[in-house]
Amino acid sequence: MRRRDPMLDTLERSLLFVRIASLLVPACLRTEWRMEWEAELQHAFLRMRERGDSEAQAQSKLRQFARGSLLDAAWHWFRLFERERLLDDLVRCSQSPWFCLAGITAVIIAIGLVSGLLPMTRAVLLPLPYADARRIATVSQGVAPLSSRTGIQTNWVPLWQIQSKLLEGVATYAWREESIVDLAGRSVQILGARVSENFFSLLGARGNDGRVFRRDDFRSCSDCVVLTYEFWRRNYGGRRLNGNMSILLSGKRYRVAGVLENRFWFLSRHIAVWSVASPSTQTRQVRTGVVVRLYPEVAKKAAEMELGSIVRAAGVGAWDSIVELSPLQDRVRLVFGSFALAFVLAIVITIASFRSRLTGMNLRQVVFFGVKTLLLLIVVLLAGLEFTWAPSITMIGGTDLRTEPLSTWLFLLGCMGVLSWSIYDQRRRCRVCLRRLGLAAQVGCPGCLLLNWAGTELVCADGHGMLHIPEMAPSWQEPDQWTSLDNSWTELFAAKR
Amino acid sequence: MSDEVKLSHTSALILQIIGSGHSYGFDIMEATGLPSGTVYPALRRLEHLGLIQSKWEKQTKAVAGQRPPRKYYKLTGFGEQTLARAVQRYPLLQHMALEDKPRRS
Repeated sequence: MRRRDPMLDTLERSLLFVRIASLLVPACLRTEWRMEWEAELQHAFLRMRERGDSEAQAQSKLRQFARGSLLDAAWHWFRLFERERLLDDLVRCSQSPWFCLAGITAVIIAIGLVSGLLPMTRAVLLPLPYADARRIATVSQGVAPLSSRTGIQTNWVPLWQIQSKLLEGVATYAWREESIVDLAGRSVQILGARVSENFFSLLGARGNDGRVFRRDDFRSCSDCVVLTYEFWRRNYGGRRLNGNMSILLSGKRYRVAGVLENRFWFLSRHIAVWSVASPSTQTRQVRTGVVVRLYPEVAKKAAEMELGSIVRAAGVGAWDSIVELSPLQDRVRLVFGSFALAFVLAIVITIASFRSRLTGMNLRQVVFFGVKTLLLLIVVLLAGLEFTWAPSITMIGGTDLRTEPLSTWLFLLGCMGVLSWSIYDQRRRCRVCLRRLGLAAQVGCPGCLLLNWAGTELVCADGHGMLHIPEMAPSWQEPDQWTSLDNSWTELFAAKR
Repeated sequence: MSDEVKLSHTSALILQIIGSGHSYGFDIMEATGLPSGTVYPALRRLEHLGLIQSKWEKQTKAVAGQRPPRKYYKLTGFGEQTLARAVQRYPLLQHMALEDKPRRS
């Protein structure tokens, strides 16, 4: 079979490139434009042949030559739309209220995509993936919120397990950073939890593949781990477990006993590996997280009193024996409580700082302002849920004294920021068509404020009115003054467009 | 059309090359050493400004030369005036070595 000439191949590919580039050229000029470029390519090809350029050099030059057609076509395309007109249209489009709403919606969609379809938001809003989750509660020592972060003394747990008549079960948990070697042999930092062997049965969690921990596992399966579904899917491709699958966790090899069901999470969605905790560390010094399941119809208060009386009977002081039960579902959604508080604070601060009131708004303005502000607050809320540890922090108690207040402070600042911007944006919009005002003009002399007005004037591009913003607003006057323009101005603005 | 068209150095160079007899795109490209992505848009701009005009070669001539027809560019009167002013502005243009006049084959 005869070998094709590579130069001819390059020429054909270059001609194809020119044909594709020609799509940018206005239809009325396209045929002639393409004819010229095709002819020029062939001239270049013939000239290189005549000169005896080396094959590689000629091919490279031909390709480079063809690439220029794209710039030439772009020149035609750009000229067709006329650069100034294009920029004017862009500015005009960006001033429209729809652009503002579409922009904020795009940010919400971006947060959804970046976070992987809002996993934290879904986790907080949907019912917890436990059997009869209303009866599950965490236990913390003391009524003061800060002390709840200290956990429960481990030696109290067996007392409650044996003596409590109101609890169906008591399980412990603790978590820490661990390293794991993935399939590619890389060491990855993860969060690992050590839980008592009855932990999963207390929550009513099921395995997606294999099994979860059960009674006597500390003796019979002390080297077993259970993996979170997402971690399993991401790092091990979600393949079926076989009996001898193992992982290297913090330098020690563990057998993978099972993979948890897809929706399961506890404490944090970042916990990847679950192992069995040793029941022997039941000393006063060691503290642990405790989760309990109440019998049906048992009131939280009654259970708290019973747990307190059990530890008091074991010689613990009255103040130290105060325990608090937090239903898990409420605790997860506590994030909305702190965010709501931050939101109310933000409204108060923003209204106090904005001297001017948004009075005299018609229904259309009110709807636009409401929708815009609501979308902005959704942005802050979703960002707060997805990109901070807030939902986990409220569930487990912060690991230090700064994280929980910090997330609330960030939310507060975010709310204040979006509320301030929303009001500022509303005041800089036309009172009739809601377009952003433009064509800013500096008027007057800032040094002559005593006798003359000085400030900035903004105009609606459609000629509906002007906004006068003084350089320094006196306290007895509204800072911005709106002047409506009558129909006699319409012609002037229409001519400008 | 304004009489005061200010040309960039590249545009003036292309105008000078066309004035010296190089008359179709690839030829101009080779004479100036500029890439195709610069030369062809510049030709469009110069034509749009009325400094050059283009004309397709007759088909019979192209067939005789066993090649596709060329689109030739030449200076207009206004282009010659503008080139003269550009040469004053960019004196080095005068010293461009233009030894080979193109041969229309």
